[in-house]
Amino acid sequence: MSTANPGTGRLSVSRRTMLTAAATVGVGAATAGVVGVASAREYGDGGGDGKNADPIVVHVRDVASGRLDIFVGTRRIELRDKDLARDLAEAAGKR
Amino acid sequence: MSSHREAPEIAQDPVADSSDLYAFVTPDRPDTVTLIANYLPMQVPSGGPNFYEFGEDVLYEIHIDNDGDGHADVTYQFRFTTEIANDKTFLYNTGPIESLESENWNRKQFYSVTCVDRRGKATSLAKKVPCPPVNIGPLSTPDYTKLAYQAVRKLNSGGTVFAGQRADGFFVDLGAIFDLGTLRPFQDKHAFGSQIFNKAGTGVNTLNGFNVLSIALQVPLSNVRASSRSYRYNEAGATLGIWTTASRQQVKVRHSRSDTDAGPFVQVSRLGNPLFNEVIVPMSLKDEWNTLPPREDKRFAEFVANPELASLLPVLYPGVFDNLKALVDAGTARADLLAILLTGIPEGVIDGFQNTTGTLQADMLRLNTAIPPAKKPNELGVVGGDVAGFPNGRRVTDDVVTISLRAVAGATFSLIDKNFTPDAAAGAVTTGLTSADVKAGFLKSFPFLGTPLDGFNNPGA
Repeated sequence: MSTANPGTGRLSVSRRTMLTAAATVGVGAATAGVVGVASAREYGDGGGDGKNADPIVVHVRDVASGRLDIFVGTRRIELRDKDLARDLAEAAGKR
Repeated sequence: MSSHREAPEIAQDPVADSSDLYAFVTPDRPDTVTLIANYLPMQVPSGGPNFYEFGEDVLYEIHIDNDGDGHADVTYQFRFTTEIANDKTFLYNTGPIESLESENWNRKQFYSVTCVDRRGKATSLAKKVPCPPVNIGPLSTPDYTKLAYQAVRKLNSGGTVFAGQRADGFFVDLGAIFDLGTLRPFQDKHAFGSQIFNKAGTGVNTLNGFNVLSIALQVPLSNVRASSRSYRYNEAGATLGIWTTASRQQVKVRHSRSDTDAGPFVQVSRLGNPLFNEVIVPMSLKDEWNTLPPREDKRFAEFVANPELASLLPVLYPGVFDNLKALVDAGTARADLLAILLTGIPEGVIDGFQNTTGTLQADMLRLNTAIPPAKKPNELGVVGGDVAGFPNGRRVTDDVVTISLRAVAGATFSLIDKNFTPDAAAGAVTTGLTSADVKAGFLKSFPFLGTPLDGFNNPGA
């Protein structure tokens, strides 16, 4: 499992969550390096903490370095996880 | 235009396109400030069956900086939701809409209002406030004025709010100005126009006949100033810096029935002073400007100091702007425009007036809230000797195009350099329009912008 702590609440990106929310496959077990967190200000009714039902969207910025963006609720979490990036790239037919 | 479709990207995203921002001490409630942000410009009134509405996926904001640091100290946020009453019809309404609760009205919008302080703490001010419908015609919206007034609501925290369709009060002759800078009253003096026209023409208000969506807020001055006490005009803190933004979440995944939005809100539209991004910022930087906060505007100061339009006027109207041409040729930085647009006018330039917010260069609409409303407003604002008007805030009837043209033409440079003599034309240049050319007119009280034009009687706008 890859784990990121965004500071305002703990977000666990499990294999199951990833498969369900982002329709990806083959998420490997690896320890993630959290390199930065972009946390939204409070946006009234439009916000969401992403802990429960909010969809999760993952953007693989660079497969080689494992740089990933995770978008959930009104947050973007920067993650560095080479195994996960590689697995997602494979699932996308990029490797 | 003021900011209608002013940048390539936002021109393709009209729901998030801010077109005008107004801020003024309320004439009939001088202990309050009225703030109006317009979006989704150039609405043809007859544009059914899918009429105009706010974006559910857009975060609309009005920001106020009350200490001159370019950071918002008070932000009002507006989020919209849409409800469909009857999912079996394609129609917006199935009968006359005579109240906001009408069962004949099939597609209603509601909104929330949230206030965010300088520390990011959010306070909900109102939830599920109804918008009025658009003005369709005498059969569907038989008493639109009354209907719209039902959507003017009080906030528990003090103040009044309205969000919905209005007539666009901005007046400008787009057809002429974007045809190589033609000003119809001076078309026979134009470098190319002189070959076609043998006399002056009359201005045409391009936006007559179009509606917009307005977010209007009237709040006590004590809610937006740094301190709830009263201020003298020459005190720091008397002047507010105001701007509006629209933001979208960073990611959108499209599905057949409902889209998924995720990630932080990122700014896609911004507006402070009218015409700033439109006329000052080069096209190659307009989209970037829309994503930035005002405190980053130092990077655009060079375009204010040496505006392209100032160099074009002597070319387009040869022999008319000779003194301006000398100023341009000398490469003189326009300290007057830098002050008006980026820092505010310091004390000592105009008797009894200042609206500076300090040295930080930021495009904000600056309103000195200690200047009382004018008893007899002059549409030319400060240029016309009325310090309660633009560029001290902006009232709905202010002729910001003429004011800006005259300022760029050199009329305000003599305030900074007493040795400079503006060209006679700098004090006379105009598009030939006044607020009387807005056929929908204006209201004398909140929300001030006129009743939107209805589709039946304005079918071909």
